[in-house]
Amino acid sequence: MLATPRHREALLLIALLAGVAGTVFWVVPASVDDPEGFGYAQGLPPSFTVYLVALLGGVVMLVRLLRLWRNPRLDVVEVDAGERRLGSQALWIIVVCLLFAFLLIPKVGFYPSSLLFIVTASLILGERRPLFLTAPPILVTGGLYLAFEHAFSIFLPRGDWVEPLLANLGG
Amino acid sequence: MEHIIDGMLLAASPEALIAVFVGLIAGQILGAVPGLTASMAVALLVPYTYYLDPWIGIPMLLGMFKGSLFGSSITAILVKTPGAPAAAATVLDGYPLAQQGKGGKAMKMALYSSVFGDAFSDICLILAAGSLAAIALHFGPPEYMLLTAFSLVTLSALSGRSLWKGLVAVLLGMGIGMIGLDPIAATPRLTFGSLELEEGIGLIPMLIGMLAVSEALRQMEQPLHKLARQTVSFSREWADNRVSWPEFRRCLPTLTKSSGMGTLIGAMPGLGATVAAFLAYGEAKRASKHPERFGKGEIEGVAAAEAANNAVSGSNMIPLLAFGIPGDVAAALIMGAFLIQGITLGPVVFQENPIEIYAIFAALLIANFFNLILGHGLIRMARRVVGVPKRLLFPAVLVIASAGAYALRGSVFDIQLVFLFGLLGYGMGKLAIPTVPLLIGFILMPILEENFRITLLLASSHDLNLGFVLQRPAFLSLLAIMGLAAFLLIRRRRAFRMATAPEPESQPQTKRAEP
Repeated sequence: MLATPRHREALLLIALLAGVAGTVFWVVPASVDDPEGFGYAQGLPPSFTVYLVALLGGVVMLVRLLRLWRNPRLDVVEVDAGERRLGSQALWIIVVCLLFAFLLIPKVGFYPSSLLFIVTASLILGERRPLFLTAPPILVTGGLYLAFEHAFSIFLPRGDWVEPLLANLGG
Repeated sequence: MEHIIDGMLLAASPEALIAVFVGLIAGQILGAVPGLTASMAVALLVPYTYYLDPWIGIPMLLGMFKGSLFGSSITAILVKTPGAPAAAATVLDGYPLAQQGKGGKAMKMALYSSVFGDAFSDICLILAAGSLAAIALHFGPPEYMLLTAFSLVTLSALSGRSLWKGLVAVLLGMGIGMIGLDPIAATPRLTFGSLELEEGIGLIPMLIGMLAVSEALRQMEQPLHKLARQTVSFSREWADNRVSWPEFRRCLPTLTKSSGMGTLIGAMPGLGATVAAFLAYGEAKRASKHPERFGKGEIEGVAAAEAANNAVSGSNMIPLLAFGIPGDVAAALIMGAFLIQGITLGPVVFQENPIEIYAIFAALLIANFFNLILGHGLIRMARRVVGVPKRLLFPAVLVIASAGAYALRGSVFDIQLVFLFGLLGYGMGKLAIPTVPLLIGFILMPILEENFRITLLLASSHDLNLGFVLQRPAFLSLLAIMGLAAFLLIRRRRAFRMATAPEPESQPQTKRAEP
């Protein structure tokens, strides 16, 4: 069914149209409260532009879907099949990135997380030399520490688990 | 005349020259760090200016600002990670050039264009601050609305080969740009009760995510043996590592026009270097004899973006000096530095502090010259850094970019946004949906919406309702200019289509999307 570019594009359009419908019928009513009496004379209610943008998006997609249906020779732009695929290497990197941002940094703090992240990502990408698995992470993390904490006085996150420990040590 | 000479002598003093030098070096290095913007760099230095004389402290700040605008283009070109939002447009042609081994050429063109744009706007500032400020004063919400609406339409030319995907990307960017507090009613919108989202989505996390992280993810899909190679390789051909005089001369009209656009946009509070860069890029592409080359490594694209974004640095000072109105965050910080020194900006500053003001003007011009020299040093340093293998450099870039994203608002949420947008950009690449239109929609939407709704508010109290905009000379002039630009664009497109119309084929075509 998804063998041809036209089919793939049609499916993409249908999925995006579902997104637009979801935005119009669920996202906007759930997340935008128009103040009472806020009309044209007050500069339009907050939901107006959201609906307008969603509507424009829906129109663009519908027009494209209709053109695709009516014209079998319509040009379809897509990347090569090889580039479309999500390989295991990329998947692992994505998992590591998400763990870094959503779990490690908030819990363990920026610096230990960065060390772990650089080592893990380098391993996934094929680095095996011990020197290159230790020196770059230490240099990068150390450089960031000196630059941000000492030069810029910007204190990067300490982490929920580490901050109490540091507070106890300091106290 | 006496004040001008006294000012120039102050600017040429050893302390002032050293201050400019230090500011430029620090600015170039900081600018190259993703997430550390020119404004942040200036903010870090403002407290130190308390201890310095104004003709030393202020030029140091301005040197920092100029240096960071150029520095941000280096990482934009080499690793598709703009050091600041203003360099995002430089990625469009700078990065493809680097991928072709012509990173040296791209960086040098970025340097020469930066200096050209800077010098152009500094001269306009010195000679025509009053006139430009008077023009800028005529620009109000209707004009801003028209300018940004037109920009959205013309910049859709950057949507690549699939127009519908480009339009969807722009609209998605506009939608994301609406997350936060409503600009008129100040009520939360699309936040789902999240306090972090009430501040809106930061431009820096989005830029770093959509450009740098998504590209890093795409690169990290490569086979392991390719990841062991250096991140950017430079051609051994001399011609690929320099900008020849014929190339520079070919770009001169673009440089001049882009510098002019950047100067005008910088003189108008609220628009900024990012808008200037994208607008100039779009215009350069529209006016080019070979618009199809843009986005694939066209040196004029780099020239246009860099000249425009650097031209903002000088003209930013125009509303500041003439009226005491800062045009953006960096100008507001510089105003703070002036206040620390006891100098109140506005129309009387030229009467009350003439020597200091002319010293600052002279320092601006000297800073351009130093920027040109120091820039070559930064280029050499950058070439060494990107010689590191991809499998080591990309994880490091992601960590540095995360730190930079955190630095602006001190929010872990911004780091999370970097990776979320990185995934979004990566996914869009898989579906051949261009990411640049999304960024443009995101950047322009808040300006467009706010000014559109303020225009409606103004219209509701006017007898002619919305027709009042037609009584504004600035609005009509802009409309005329834009009408002409649109006519030329349509005419060119028609001519291009007629010239390149293919032979009728029996099979439908599938076009391959450029990465």
